[in-house]
Amino acid sequence: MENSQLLEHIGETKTKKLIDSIQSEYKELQRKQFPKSENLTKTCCVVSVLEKNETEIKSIGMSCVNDLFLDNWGLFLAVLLGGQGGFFSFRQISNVGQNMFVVRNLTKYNETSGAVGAKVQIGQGSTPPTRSDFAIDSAFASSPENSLQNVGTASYQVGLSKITIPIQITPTGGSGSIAEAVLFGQWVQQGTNTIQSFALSRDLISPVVGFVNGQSINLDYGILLN
Amino acid sequence: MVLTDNFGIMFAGLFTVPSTNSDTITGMKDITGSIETIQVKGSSNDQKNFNQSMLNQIQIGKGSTPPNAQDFNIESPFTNGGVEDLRGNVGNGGLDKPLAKILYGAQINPTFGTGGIREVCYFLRMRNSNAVDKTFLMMRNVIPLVSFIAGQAINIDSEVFY
Repeated sequence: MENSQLLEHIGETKTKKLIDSIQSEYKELQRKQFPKSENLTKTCCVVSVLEKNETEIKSIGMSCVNDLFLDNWGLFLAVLLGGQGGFFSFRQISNVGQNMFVVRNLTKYNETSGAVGAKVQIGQGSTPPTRSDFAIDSAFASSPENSLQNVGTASYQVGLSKITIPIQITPTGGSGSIAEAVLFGQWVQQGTNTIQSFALSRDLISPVVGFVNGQSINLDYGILLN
Repeated sequence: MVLTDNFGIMFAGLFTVPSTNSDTITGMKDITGSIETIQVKGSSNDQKNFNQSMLNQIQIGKGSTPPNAQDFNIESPFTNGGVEDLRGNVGNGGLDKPLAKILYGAQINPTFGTGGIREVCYFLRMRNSNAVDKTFLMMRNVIPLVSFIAGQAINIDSEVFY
């Protein structure tokens, strides 16, 4: 599926089945375009805008085929899968290196309660993603869509080999066009209980998704397993 | 290579809601097929976190059935009576940032028998929510036949891209 074909879904009812179908087609497109890719994980963020309390899609877009998991994610996986103890320097949202333990320490990244987890931010930037990105390219000016948003409960779908992370944002003041989305880990830095935000993936959204005050912005963030 | 359902269930847990204390996930199968619950963050007892005593292990075997996401153990391990029968700790891990790839591997020095390797399995040994360490199959590869005899060194060098 080319991203422009998504426009065919405007006016349809947004269902989980429809989002699953879009993300599955995206995975197939990936396989065709990058047949030798052994990418462990791939993002596919579907952004749709609905009227509040309604299910009809008013605007829709999704990740571009060459979007990226970032260096932070690679380092996290390398430490987790490579069996490496000790702490490593991750790049937090303000571009400062923060040491973090992933395994086998009393102040690991997931050590404290409550705020550890994931967040997402949407933006209007269109600069192509690079591995060293650490933040959104261009945030919106109006609240709440200008800030990092809590994710909903993530789930894994057996059979589709897909992790789904839902996010819903209701803009209250502004309007705009969503052109990018960044997924963050909310993790504990070494030696403290301070939670920091670490960008894990950055996706450009195409076609851009327009929204106005009072509508409901839905992000269905898919992590597709190889 | 196939990432198992265990991999997906565990990673779904890493993207937990940051404002709640719902800190356990269930559904992963250990190598005996037992369904386990793991704690992904330390809201109740930090020492029970899944990564508190994590070990990364590799095991080789003879099984050639194509891998499936539902797999939870190696298909056919060696039974030579040597170290090649067992899970060995991962080494040589690292990150190649310019090429966006993760490296990990192991060296196994078979001590007794001979054999033909057809499968390579990657395991994580993790703590469950009862603070008991369990072993989980995370990735399974079926490879073209590689033969060995006792005294040779089997080198496994894996790389995955992100």
